[in-house]
Amino acid sequence: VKAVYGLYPDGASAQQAVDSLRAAGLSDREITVLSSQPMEEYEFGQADKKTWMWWIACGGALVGMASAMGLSWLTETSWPIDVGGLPTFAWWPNLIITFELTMLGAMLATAITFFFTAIFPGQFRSPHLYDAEVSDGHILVGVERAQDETRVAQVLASAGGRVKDLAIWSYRELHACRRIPIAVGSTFRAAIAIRFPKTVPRIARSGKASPQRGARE
Amino acid sequence: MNVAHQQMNSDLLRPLMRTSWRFYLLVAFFGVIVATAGAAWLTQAYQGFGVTGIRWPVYWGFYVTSFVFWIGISHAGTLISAILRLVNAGWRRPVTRVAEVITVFALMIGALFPIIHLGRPWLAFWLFPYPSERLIWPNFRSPLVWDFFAINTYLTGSVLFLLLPMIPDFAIVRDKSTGLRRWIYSKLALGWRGTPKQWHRLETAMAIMAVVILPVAVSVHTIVSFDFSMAPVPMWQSTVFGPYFVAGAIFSGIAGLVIAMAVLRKFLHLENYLLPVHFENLGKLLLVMALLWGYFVFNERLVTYYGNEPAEMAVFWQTQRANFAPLYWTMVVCNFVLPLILMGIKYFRTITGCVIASIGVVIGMWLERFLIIVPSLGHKYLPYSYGIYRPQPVEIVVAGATFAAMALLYVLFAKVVPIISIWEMKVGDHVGPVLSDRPKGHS
Repeated sequence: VKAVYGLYPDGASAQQAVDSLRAAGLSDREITVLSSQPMEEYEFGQADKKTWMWWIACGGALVGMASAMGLSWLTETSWPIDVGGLPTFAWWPNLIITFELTMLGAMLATAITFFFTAIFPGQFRSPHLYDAEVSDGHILVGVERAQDETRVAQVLASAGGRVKDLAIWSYRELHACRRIPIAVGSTFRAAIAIRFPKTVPRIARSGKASPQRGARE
Repeated sequence: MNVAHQQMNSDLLRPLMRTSWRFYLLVAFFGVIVATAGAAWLTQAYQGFGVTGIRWPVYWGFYVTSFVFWIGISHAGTLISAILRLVNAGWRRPVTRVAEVITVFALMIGALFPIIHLGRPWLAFWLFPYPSERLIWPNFRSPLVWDFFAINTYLTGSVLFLLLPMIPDFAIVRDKSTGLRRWIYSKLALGWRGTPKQWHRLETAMAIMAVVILPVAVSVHTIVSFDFSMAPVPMWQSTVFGPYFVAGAIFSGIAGLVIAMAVLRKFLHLENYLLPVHFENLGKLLLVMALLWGYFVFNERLVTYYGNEPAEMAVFWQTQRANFAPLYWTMVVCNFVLPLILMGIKYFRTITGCVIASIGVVIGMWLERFLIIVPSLGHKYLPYSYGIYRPQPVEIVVAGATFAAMALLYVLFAKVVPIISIWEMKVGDHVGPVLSDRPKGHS
């Protein structure tokens, strides 16, 4: 995997880098932007905003409500208990259980949707571009599979970024940045390890793209 | 380098990266208290409820008081955090996680009490709605089963509400640590990178959770109040109990939050993050809730007084003038007079003033729960069901140790998770342009 990226100190310069990459002919899908906080004030931070999460939460609420009504109906009719002459299936008290499970359904659906749309998709894809300096407040703008690395590096540098490149990701780095579910276990991890043999990543820390990048150890 | 962000990382990750002898001392201290309470509970389970002061007609004593109290304290976090998130109050950022943690731990502790209160706690699973071989289902018309559903829903929601925004912070810890710690936080960070898509999903999820959890939080303490108001006991059957309990819960929750913030500020050196303005704002909220609490108490008392029903008046006078009067008037001073003076006068609305008022409110609210439960149960409709309650050492130890349990859980949590949400602080720190003429549609 050959990735080239720049680290930018603020949103404005990151936006400039994204615009420059677009002007150089790269599509939005090819451009990766990473930040340690939401950057919704900038146009690049508006990417992938559309989501069905609200509707899925409503669906989860409906499932929860149906489960509550089914549970209370089944249990109360299968073991009728006379409580002060109240009907066996009494709506007023059952509304409480129905309300709680409706809300529980909405919350669980939201959490599951979040994990399936924001977390899990990255688990099984090829290694990702990442730099720990993002945690210090830098904004990473890069291209994961650059066709013309030199050109991309020049564009990123022209926007004022500190350009780096990442020749290949070691299993160790892969392991640090990609999360493999424990349930899948070591078999999957072994497969990944074979696919990405243990190598030391070559990272050019100069201000320009290194012509020797990509060399394996 | 973004110096401000680096400094923020350094300050807020310090408790995770460095461990002093004081941490071990605190853990040992609170751990010993909790272990003592565990031993006391085991003694109770082995010897039976005879070792407690709980006997006919007062079957609910310190344990149910503590149950209601801790469920009330749990309203500190998620409810306050959700409200502040929805109104987009900028000052919430350092406060939210501190508050949400209180919710989760207070709920865990509160939910223990119904089990502690069982004579045979190993049969607690009978409350679960599952098709057992006895073919008996829980009675869904019982407020105790409503409690089960409400508390579990709230606990699940609160854990998710706390957990989701922790993921980006786990990624920061991963990037800033090495060795085993890095490995562990890599697992916890779930591969978080901070793409725009991830941030949008997280913010949408938090918005939905905030909307959903608000009515759940209100419902939880309303349902806890139903445990009382659905029972034919003097001064319990009241329509005001639902909102009265919810207001009391938020009141005690804010007080708990102020105390936790002050302790964290002092011991974790978070003076640059938990500012006096945060305490002042929470102090104002405390003042509002004190007034609301006073309003509900006035309602409850005046309506009972005008009703003049003999059994209710007997309980009424017990708390106003007789045996329980010292506790009642202490409660009024702690919950109303003290916050009114300390939070109403700007001069006293300092961090120290807020903490003193909050300690008073916590004591006052515990007394309020006790005074709702015990005087009424000890003085029901007919003289044959009159009785007194004397808490025994085992109850005092177990109820008292829950405060140590809360402190212990908090200390351990602050050791492994940044107690202030780092990414949210960074959001508050950076200023961006207003989107206007830029084309949208980057996908």
